[in-house]
Amino acid sequence: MQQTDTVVRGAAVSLQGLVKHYGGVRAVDGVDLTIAPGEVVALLGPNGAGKSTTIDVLLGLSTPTSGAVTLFGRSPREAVSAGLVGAMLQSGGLLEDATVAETVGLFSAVYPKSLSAAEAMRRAGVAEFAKRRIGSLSGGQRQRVRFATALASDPDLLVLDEPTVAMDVEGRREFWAAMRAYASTGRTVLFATHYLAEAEDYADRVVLLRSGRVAADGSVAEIGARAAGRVISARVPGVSAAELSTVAGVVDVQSRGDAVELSCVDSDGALRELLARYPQAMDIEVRGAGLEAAFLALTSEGAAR
Amino acid sequence: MTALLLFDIRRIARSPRFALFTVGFPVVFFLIFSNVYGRSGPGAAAYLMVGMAAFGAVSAAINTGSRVAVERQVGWNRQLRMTPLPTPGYLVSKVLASMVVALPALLLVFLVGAFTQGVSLDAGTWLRLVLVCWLGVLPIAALGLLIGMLATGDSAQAMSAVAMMTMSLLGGLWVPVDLLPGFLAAVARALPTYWLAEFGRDALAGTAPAAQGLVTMFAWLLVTGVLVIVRYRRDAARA
Repeated sequence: MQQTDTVVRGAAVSLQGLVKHYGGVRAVDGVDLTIAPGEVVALLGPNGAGKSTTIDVLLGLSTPTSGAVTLFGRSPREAVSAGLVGAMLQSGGLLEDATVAETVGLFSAVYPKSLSAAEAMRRAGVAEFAKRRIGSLSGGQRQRVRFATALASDPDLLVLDEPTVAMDVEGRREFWAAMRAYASTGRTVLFATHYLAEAEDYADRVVLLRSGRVAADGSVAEIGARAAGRVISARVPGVSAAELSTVAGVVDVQSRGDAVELSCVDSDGALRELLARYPQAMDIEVRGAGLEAAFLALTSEGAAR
Repeated sequence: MTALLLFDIRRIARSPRFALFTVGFPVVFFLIFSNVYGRSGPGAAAYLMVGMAAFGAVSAAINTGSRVAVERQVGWNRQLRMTPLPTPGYLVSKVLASMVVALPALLLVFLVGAFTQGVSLDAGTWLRLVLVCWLGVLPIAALGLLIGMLATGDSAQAMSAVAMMTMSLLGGLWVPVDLLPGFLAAVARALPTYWLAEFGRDALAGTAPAAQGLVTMFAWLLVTGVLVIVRYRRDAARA
């Protein structure tokens, strides 16, 4: 994505040539990413694609092997100290013997300009169990307490690593409602998720990571189109899923009896080869792929290579 | 920093098991020892009282510091790094928390000494005694924090128990150092616990703390303090 100078300089997040190695593992392998203030960006990718590492480096929790990171033109540590950044970490823990109010109160007390604990708790929807200990809360409730601590500094940038992971359907709905209310005030949000529906519903922009690199970057619609992913469904009697997966252009095979669904990067080529190899194929249907198929196509290209 | 200190103190104050074992145990110890040996000579009860008060304070300080191991394990420190709380603020707050918890442990043994074991001192001596013993716990508080920074949640209890026992026994808090074999008596003089009890007895006698003691205490505080800082930095870099 082409960015103008002003956007880069005033960017909420700017990652340039970011590389992070752990021993011999290239967790992040050259990520460039600029996020303008006010954008709501979803970071997608399979496990091990480098999402959490990117977020750790972005927040100054680990130092990059090479590359530059700035948040609002400052170093991550400066931005965090100034209370510009709120984060909900996957691996950040809360203390079980503290109450919700004490925990949120602590975070609210350490920031220079902060929301009151009561306000942070209200916005995150945890006020009704403020007096309870963290240890007595459900996984989803704990996630919302983390959200409250992330809101405590009234940050301009909110970074969320798999925020809804332990939540039930209702909790998830309430969480995103709160997140939306926050984003609607012109604040920037970057969230990592593996729920594609969340990216589709809540993000302005999707950044897809694969093997530590940006595989795709654009709006949900753009990415769906760019992947040109299609799904062929058909009945192919007497042919195994393993055989079908060798058809060129097919990246994934789902089968139930004779009925199969082939996720394709090149559906035209796959269809020609399918019919040439297995003339008995019938009930053939080709449909456009949603973000999910695009995700699959884009993230498995590397594996096919 | 004050916010974190209050947050930690509140959590500790709510844990009855923690209070029972760190504060209650030395009192029970004192009552047993005092009833066995307390009548063995003039000032024997006061002598025992100082040792047991020091033991209570040491145990409270080490146990409080080592709680950091569990906090690190659940990822609490990562969460705190997402705040403007500076490194010195965090470390000082943790040491202060240990000091605050050590104070009631100390006072309780003194109260039991005064009201049930017939230890009678003038107000000035009591004040000096409390002050000297309390400040003398500082290197131990740093040691407790070091254990918290080194141990995992599982090993923290064992490590602090070993540290507490070794420090108390070799430091002469349970039995006089003179009763230990010769080479152990030499080791004792290198421990902060030995000097902690010595300072207490100096306060009883109205004499000034020995220079060797002050130097030893300061050296312990310096070395453990540096190790804590090094370890905290490494922890942060690895996270």
